[in-house]
Amino acid sequence: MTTLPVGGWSTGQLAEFLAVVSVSSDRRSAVAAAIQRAAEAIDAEVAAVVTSGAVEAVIGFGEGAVPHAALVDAATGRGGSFDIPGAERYATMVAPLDDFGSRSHLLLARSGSDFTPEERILIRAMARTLGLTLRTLLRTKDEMRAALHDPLTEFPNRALFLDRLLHALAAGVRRGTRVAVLFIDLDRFKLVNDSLGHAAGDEVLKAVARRVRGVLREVDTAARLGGDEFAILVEDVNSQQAATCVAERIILALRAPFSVSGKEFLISASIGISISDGSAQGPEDLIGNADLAMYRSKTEALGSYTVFERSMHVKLVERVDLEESLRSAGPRGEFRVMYQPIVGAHGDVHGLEALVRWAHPTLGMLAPGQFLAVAEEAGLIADIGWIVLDQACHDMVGWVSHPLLDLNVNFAASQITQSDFADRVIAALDRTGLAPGRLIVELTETVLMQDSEAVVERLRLLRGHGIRFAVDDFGLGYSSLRYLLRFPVDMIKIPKTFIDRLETDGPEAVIARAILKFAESLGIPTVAEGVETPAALAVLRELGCPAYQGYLFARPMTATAVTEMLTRAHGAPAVVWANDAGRIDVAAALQPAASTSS
Amino acid sequence: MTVATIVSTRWLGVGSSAAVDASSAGRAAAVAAVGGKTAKLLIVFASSIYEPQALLDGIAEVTGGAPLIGCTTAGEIAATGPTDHGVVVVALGGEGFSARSASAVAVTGQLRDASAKVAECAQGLQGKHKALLLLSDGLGGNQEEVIRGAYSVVGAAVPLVGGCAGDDLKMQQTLQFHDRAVLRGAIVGAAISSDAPIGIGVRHGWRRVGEAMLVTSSNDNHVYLLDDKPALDTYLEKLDVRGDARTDPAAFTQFAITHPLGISRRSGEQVRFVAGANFDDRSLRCIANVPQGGLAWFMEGDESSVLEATDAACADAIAALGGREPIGFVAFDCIARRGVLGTTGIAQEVERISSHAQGAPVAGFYTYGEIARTRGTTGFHNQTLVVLALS
Repeated sequence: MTTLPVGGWSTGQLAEFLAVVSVSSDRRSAVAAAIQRAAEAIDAEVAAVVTSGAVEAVIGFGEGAVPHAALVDAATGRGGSFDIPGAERYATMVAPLDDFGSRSHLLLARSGSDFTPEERILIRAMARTLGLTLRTLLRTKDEMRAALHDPLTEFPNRALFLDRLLHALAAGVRRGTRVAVLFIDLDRFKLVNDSLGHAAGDEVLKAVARRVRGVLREVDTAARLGGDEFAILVEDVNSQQAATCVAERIILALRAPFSVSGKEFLISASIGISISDGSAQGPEDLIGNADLAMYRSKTEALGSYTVFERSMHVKLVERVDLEESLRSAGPRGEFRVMYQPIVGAHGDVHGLEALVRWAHPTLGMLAPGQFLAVAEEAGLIADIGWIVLDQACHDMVGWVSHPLLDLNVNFAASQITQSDFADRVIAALDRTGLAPGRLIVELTETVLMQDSEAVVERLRLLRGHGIRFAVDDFGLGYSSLRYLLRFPVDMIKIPKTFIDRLETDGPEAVIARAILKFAESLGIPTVAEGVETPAALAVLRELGCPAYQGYLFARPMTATAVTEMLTRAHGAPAVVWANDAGRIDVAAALQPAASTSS
Repeated sequence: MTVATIVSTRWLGVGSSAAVDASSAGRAAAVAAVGGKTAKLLIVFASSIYEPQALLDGIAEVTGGAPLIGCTTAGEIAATGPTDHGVVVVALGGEGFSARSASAVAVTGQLRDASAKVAECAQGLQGKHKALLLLSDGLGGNQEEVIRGAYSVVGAAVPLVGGCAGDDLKMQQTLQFHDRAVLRGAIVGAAISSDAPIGIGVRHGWRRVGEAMLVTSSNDNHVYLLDDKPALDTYLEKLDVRGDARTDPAAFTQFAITHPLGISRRSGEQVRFVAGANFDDRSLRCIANVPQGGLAWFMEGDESSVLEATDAACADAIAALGGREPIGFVAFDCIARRGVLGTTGIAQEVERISSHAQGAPVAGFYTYGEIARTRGTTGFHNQTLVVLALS
């Protein structure tokens, strides 16, 4: 390309053109400025940018008198002609923009004389200057998009979500409408990452994003705030139901299994909803409130939604206090281990489940349901588990003279995934002198479903020492039973949920019966938890359930009470329930405070 | 053989008055302009000394509800000669003429939009020959935007003509008139269509002084650096300015009237009226945009060159009438040219314009900027004479 003569009029024109066009903030204004300045520079009556077969912008014709087809033909070399009023003849010049985004050309038409070589060079230079400007704008736009979007899901990120929320709140105040924020947190997502790796986790997040987007309106904004946290902005909410409907749709959409790396997963989401109240709430307030409500869902029922209430702030403060106290509870020796007997068909005790309690300095004795969720969130659950194991093994050593008595201890997922898990269990046994054959490790199905080779190896190592395994809350977690092949278990515990409605013909009873038959066919002993009525016991006995646990027999009791119970048995198996007609509840008589079943 | 004689009924009347009382002046000028006929458009050029509302009311007493556009001036032009502190009324009427008027107050930075809004009055106007007459506030921002806005609506099909209102060189506040409304910072316009050609002539008559300079820093109308030196200092040095004009703003403006800036354009140069200087930051204030990065010159003129330009502008306007005789001239003459010509010179200039008009009425005013777009897309001028010839 020939260069412009330095110091000529055209050099100054190009400098002016560049100064005006390059400061444009978007394509539209850049193109508008360019055709105006280009026309002025060479005294042209008509200036246009034609892009991909259409006139993008034009000056020189009155409104409604633009010869679109002729301009397109002229710009694309098909010889289109048009009239310039008052001009008998005119010259046309077309130059490509070379903007990479589309096939665009700058067209200029001037009445009278042809364009000189200098003018033609200037026009080409102006076209390329415009093209470069448009490319820069395009790049800036891409960069801006990248800065404001999550690359994995392509959802807006937190910054953009906050911005949109800010505007939505302002618009809501003007229009007198409300804005809802849904805070979504995937349940147990960490297990996916831990067991299948982060690549698989990313696939799940993308799949979740697609499903969430699929149930939203076009106008709703879905964002990924980070990790497994998503947020939805719903505008013009005229009732609480308008927001809860969205939550229900999302929960439903996530219910079907996710297939990743050839494996199927069930991923639920806990959702918190906060709705603007028309006051001067900031975006962070609304998101914070939704987060708080989500936490409520998380602690009360995974896979559910909760609408924010002001009282949650009070509970948040209580929770923070609780967490603070919990951190010092271990060092201060505030955890207590209690034991609930596991009995045979006639109330004969052949095992004890160790259950933790927290002797809170001001709130009194707290049951697991009152602090374990907080402990889980605070990362304290493993520490508490090890305290319980140590104490229970220590107590158990004092009862070993009692025949056939086993010790069941619950282990959390965060303990099993610790690399020194097996070593710590064995060390506890060694430290206390308890025979490994007396310990039954209780695990939930969720833990067993981790399908991790490292975990399998640790459990096998323990089994090699004679330690046995029980599946706690059987039937409440994953439905796959494949893990039973990888971890041959020694005991299945049927949760209270199924036992409570055993006398009915409802689905819980059907499931309980199925579990019993299933366990029987595999030769795995079962324990029915939460047995509280003679009627339930009668059904269980009829179905052949060999062992029970529950208030009908005994509440959780202190180690002292266990010692006394066993002493009364005089070396024979202790009995906490005598016959169908009556109940001899030794433990209850010795128990200082009422406690719930595990 | 029958010869059909087509008698033109189009007419243009001009009336002027230098009466002290605004109402009386308006009334007298209007009476003379309409001559008892019904006008289709009134164009009013009036000194800023008049109480504007009384002036318009006086005119309306004579012309009734005829559409009116107008503005204050830095001197008026009539066939009887140039005047100060007077009023000139132009009336258009007769078959073959039609006109529509409009106005818009230009919010700061929105000159283009305001001008486009005014230009909409030209849409749908029937007639073979058209022009859009625009009167704006030369003290109110970059007047090139006025051209751009109007052009975006009417395109190349309608020539633009007109000028920027004055205020008798006080450089403080100009007024625009639309019907009986007195406006500030506004653009008023009238789209005129005619069965007969409309001619426009444009000439300035200035010449370059010294070498070209690079505009190294400017923003819109403000020029900060020329060749990387403070613009005011460069101006004072290169033009060898002496006396009060070096330190006194009023004296400077008086000097600058006859020493404009020329900026490089394809056709040669475009003249920029230097309206004032900032003695603190040493910048120059022009009436229109002076683009950063462009080449510029200082310019000067003398009586001879200015009068030559007058002849040329009139001749160009006449030539565009296609052999028809003019029925009247409306001149938009920069106040700077008046500065060069002096009292005697402007009388000569008006005589020359009248002689080109071949006896047809002549009207006009001394402006703070001139508008004439007949070719290309640009059309804002400084230090220039624009002549509108109607036939």
